[in-house]
Amino acid sequence: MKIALDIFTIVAVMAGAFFFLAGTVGLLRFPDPLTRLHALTKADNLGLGLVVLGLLPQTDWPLDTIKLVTIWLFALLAGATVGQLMACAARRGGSNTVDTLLPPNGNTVELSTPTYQIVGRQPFAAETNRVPSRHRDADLPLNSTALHRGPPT
Amino acid sequence: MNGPTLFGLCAAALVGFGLYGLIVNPQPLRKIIGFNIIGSGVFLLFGAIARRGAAVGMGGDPVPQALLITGIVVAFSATALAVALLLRLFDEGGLVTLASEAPPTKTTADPPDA
Amino acid sequence: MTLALAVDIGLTLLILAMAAWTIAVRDTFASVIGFVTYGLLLTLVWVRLAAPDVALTEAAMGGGLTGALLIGAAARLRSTESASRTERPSVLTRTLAAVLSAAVTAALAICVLNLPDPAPTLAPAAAAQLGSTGVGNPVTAVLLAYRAMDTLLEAIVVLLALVGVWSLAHDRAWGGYPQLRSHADPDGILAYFARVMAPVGIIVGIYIFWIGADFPGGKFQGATILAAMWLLVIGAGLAHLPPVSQTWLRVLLVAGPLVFIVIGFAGLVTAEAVFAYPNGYAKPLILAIEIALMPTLVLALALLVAGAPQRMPPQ
Repeated sequence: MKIALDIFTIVAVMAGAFFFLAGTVGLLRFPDPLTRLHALTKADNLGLGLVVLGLLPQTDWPLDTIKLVTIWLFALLAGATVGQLMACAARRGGSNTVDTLLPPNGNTVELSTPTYQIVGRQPFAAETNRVPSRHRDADLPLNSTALHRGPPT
Repeated sequence: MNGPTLFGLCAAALVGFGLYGLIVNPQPLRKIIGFNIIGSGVFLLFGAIARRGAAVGMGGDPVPQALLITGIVVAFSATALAVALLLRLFDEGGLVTLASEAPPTKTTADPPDA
Repeated sequence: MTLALAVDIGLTLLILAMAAWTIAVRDTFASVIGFVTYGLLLTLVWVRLAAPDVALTEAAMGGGLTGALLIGAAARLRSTESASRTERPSVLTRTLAAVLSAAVTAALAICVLNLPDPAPTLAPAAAAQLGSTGVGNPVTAVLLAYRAMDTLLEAIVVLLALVGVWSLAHDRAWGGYPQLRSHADPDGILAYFARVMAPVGIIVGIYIFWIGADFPGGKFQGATILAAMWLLVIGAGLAHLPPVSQTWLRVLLVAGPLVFIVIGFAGLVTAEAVFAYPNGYAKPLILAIEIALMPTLVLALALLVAGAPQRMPPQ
């Protein structure tokens, strides 16, 4: 029985690690903020869930088990909320939704100027002439790499 | 080579990285970040020394560990004060620079990254 | 090479890469995000160094509050970015800086490799007196019994930093509201998140505070979580920061260090020295100090993130 539980742990944690890896690759390789968020939230939630599931047989019932599951639930909640906020900001371009914890005049030029428009999923042609490589790792909604200069709306 | 020695060497490298960033990066906010990296390197060095002091069933020497907690809180306070000074400087002039002569007023904006 | 050492080496390389990227990347906002990531990686190192108390502090402070502070500043200063790029120092300066940094690193590395063996340690001394303090976590015992003076001075430093931040307000905003203000939709996702998260976060913060007596945790970590919950509720538009001239706010801010000083100097009478606790009363006195320090720390940490007052107080 002990062996079976250990094997279950190993398999589940490795499966979780695989989803983390997949999510990271998606984060680095996908062309725009929305698809990257998709990769991140989906894979991280599932990855963390599998890691937690795998660790459950190794914990003391009930306190540690409940703590682990709670951590996963809050990571889900936080991930979904932040993903939603970032997607909102990226989609609207001029939104201040992501700015709620920032000072009122923290709206940056890129965010508040309506002459910038989000270019949705225009994958490869766009990728070749934008997304400088130094930005690949950190494409946040405040970052201007995902914003194209467009006609005034 | 063991864990504490490895992290001690890592701490030494972090202090070097932070010092380089502090000197070379012109933006004051980047200097604050560089200073924080120096600070965390010093903390890590202290933490590695604390780990070497593991005895009587404790994972490390609790005295340096407690001082580290104190240090991290003080470092945060200092960072908050530095950032407030910086933002006030920005409010005054709209420009943030530590150069002895302020750069000429910008006439052409840099092209956006797109 | 053991598996544990392999993990440590991987972690070290990751941290060094993250620090180098944080220093080298051109975009300041990206650098801030790099620094937050770096702080979270450092948390893992503290766990590897058997210092869970420090790990909790680093995660809450280094990754959390410092991150919020720097992100806010980077967003406000974004318009100055392109101007300051022209100030990049010359190749000579950069070379000299690199040489100096390498020399400092080398000197520290030599020290690390020549540390005395066996290492000096105060752990046995800390363990020997642990029973008389009534707390089970040696780190808490150091913070509030053996070296209580440090902790008192630390609380005062936090307070002084807050006074410094407040004193940077414009005359017109003197004593007014800090700048942190919400633009969030009160029915939006962030408000929902704050409604769900804040009550649980408050329980977690108090739990971390309470359990610090015997297990990893304590008032600094708990206070940071509570401060973060307060900022979350404010950021979600469900509450407002008070103007900094409020009397109750200032009373609470001063109360913690004051109680600490009173109890500390009472030791002259009731025990034999300053910050000595009379026999048998150590645990309740430590608890009293911690409970008084809690509101001070929560308010001070949150208000440090909120920054200098920017708007007029009510007339």
